[in-house]
Amino acid sequence: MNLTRSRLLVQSLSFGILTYGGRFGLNLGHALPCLSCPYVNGCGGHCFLMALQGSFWGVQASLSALAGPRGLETLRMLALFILLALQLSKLWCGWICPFGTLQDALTWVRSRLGIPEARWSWATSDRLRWVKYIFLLLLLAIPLMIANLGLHGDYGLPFCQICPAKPLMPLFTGDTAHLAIDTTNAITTAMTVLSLLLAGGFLAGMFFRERFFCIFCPMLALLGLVQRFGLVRFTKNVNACVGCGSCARSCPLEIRTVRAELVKRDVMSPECMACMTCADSCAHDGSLSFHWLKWRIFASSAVGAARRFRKGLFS
Amino acid sequence: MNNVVTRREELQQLRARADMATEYAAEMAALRSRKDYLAEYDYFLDLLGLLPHPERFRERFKKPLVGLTCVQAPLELVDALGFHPYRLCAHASSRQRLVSSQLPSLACPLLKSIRGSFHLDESLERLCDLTVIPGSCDWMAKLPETLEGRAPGVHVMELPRIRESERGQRRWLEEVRELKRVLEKRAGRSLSRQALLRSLETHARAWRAWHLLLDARSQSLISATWTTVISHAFLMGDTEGWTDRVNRLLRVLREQPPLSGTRVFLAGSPIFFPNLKVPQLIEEAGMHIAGDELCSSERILAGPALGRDRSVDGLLRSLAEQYHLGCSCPSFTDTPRRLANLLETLHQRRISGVIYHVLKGCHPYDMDSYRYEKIIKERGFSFIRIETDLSREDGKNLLVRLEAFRDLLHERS
Repeated sequence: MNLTRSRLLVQSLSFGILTYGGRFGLNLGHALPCLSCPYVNGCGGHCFLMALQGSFWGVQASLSALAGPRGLETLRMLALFILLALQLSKLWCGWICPFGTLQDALTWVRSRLGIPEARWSWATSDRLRWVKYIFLLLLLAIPLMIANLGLHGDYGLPFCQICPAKPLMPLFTGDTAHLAIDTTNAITTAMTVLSLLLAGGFLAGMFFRERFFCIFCPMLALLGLVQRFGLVRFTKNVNACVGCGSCARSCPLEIRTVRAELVKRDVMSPECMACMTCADSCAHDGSLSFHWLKWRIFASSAVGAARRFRKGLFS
Repeated sequence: MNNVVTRREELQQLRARADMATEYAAEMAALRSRKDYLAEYDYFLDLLGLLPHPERFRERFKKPLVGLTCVQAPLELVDALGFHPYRLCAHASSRQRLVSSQLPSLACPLLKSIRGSFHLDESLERLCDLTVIPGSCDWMAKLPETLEGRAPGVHVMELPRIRESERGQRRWLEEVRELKRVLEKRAGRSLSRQALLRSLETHARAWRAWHLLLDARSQSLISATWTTVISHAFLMGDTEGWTDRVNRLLRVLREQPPLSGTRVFLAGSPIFFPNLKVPQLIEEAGMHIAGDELCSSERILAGPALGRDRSVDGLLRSLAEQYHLGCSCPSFTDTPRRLANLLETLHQRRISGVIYHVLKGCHPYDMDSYRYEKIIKERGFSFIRIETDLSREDGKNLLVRLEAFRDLLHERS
C-alpha cells in the first residue's frame, strides 16, 4: 500500500466533500470531529466545536433547559460526535480534516522551495502542547460565563471567532467577507482584529512549520480525551525498534514518545493525529502498526521505507 | 646513522608490503576454493584485491578519497560532495605487526591494523585526502594523535555518548554540519540539495539490496563468510555498481539449494577482510550464522534517512539522527535497544544460540558480554563467548569449542 498516495487521495476527496458538498445537497451534520468550517458557504458538514460552544451558550447551563428539547439536541450531537470519534479516532485529523489538508499543502510548497522547517527546543514543544487544552477550557467556559456571569453576548462562539479557519477556509469558495473588520462595537472590532492577526500569524506558522495549527487545535485535544476508547489503535513492537528516530523526524508534530517507548505496546499519544507517516518512514518490519479493531490498516516495513525513496520521495 | 635507520625502515616497508600481498592473496585463494564459491563473488573479491594495490584503486576510481573509521559518519554526505568514501577498517595482521612496538600489546587489533596501514608509505590510507574519525571508543579517540602526521588531513568528530538527550542529539548534528563545512572546503564547492538527495536515494537502494541479501542469509542461501566479503567490498567500489551486483547475486542465490548447519547468531566485535577466521570456523563447526549485529556486517548501512524536512539542513539532521540514534555500538552509554533487538532477531529467525565474539582489546564489547550472557541464558538461549585476535594460532582451539557448542545446540533442540 502506498500510504502517501492513499492519504493524498482521501484528503483531496474529504476536502472537496467538506468544502463544497453542501452545494450538491450533502449535509454530514453538525458534529464532525474535524475543522470543517461552518463559515464556508455550502460546506458539507460542520465542525463539532461550533455546536459545542453554541449548545452550552444556548442551554445557559440550567438543568431545566438541559431536560428540554435544546438539552436533548445537545446530548444528541455530543453522542454523535463521540460515535464518530470512536469510529475513526485521530484519522479525522490526519486524513479528513480540510484545515489539516490546507496545512499539508503549505508544507508541500515550502518543501519544494527547499526552505528549512522552523524548529524549537523539546522544552518549548512540551510547553506548547498544553495550549490546546487551554483553548478547549476557554471555549467551554466562556459560553457558561455569558449565561451565568453576565459576560457580553458578543463573546459567543469564542473559539470560532478567532479560529484561523474562519477567514481562511471561505476563501476557497471565493468568499472574502471574513477578512473584514466588524466595527459594530468594541468587542466585535477587537475579536475580528484578533481573528485576522491570528490567521496571519498561523498562516506564517503553518508555512514554516508542518501542521503548526494542530499543536493548538482544541479538536485534537477533544479527540485525545476519547482516543483511549476508540477503535483505531497505534501499536509498537518495542523489541524491533532500533531507535533511529525516523518516526519522530517524519511526524508532523514531532512526537518523540513513540521512539522513546521501551515497554508499552500502545503508543498513541494525545498529540498523535494518525497520519501514519511514522509507520511509513520506519524501515523495520512490523515495528509500528495501525489497527482498526483487530484488522491491520498499515504497518512499517523495510520494503515500504525503501519504496518511499524509489518513488522519488525527495525528488 | 640516519641512513641506517632509513634503510631499515625501507626494508621494513618492503617486507610489510610483501607480507600484506601474501596475506591477502592467501585469503583470496581460500575463498575461491570454497565449495559454495560462485562466479558472482568475483566482483567483490576483485574489489578487495585492490586493497594492497593503491595505484590500481586510484586508476579505477578517479575521485578524491575520504577515509572513514566506524559507522557514524554519514556516507551520503561524503558521496554528495564528490568524494569516494573508503572504510579504513581492516583485519590485517601484516599491517598490525608494523606498529607492534608503538602501541600497547593489548590494544584493539582493529586499531593496530588501521594504524599499521598509515605506517606504510604507499597505502590507500595514506592516499586519502581526508581521514574522518568519529571518536566512538577510547581507541578511536586516541587514533588521531597516534597518526603523527602520517595522514594528509584528519578530521575528528566528537561523538556524544549519551543519545537520549536533546543536548547529545544537537551536539552530533553540529558535528555533522561541521563535517559538511570541512568537506565543502576541501571540495571547493557547496553541498547542493539535489546532490544530497541523489546520494540518499543511491544509498537507500544499496541498503535495500543489502537487506535482501541478509534475508537470503537468514534463509541459509548464502554464508556469513561471503556476506562479510560483500560488506567489506561495499566502500571499495562505487555504490551503484555494488548494489547492482548484489541484486544480480540475489537472483542467482534464489536458485541455489539452502546451506546446512545449526542456526546461530553472531554478536560482538567486528570482523573484517582479510581475517575471516571467525565466520569460517563457525561454518567449519557445522553452524550457519543466520543473523548478526556487527558494525562490519548487518550494520554497515545505517538505513534510509527519512524525514519530512527536505531542505539541506533538514536532510543533514535526518542523516545525523539516523547514524547516531540508530547505531547500536556498545561505546554509547545508552544502548537499551541493542539487547532487545538481538532477542527479537533470535525469535524472528528461529535461532537458538548466540556466539559472542570479542576481539582481545575491544573493551566495550567485552564489557557488555557478561551482562548479555546472563540475560540471553535467562531467556533460554545458548551462549558462548569467544575471545580472539588476528592471529591464526588459536584456530584449532576455537574450533573444538565451537563444535562442542554445536553439539549443545543439537542436544537442546
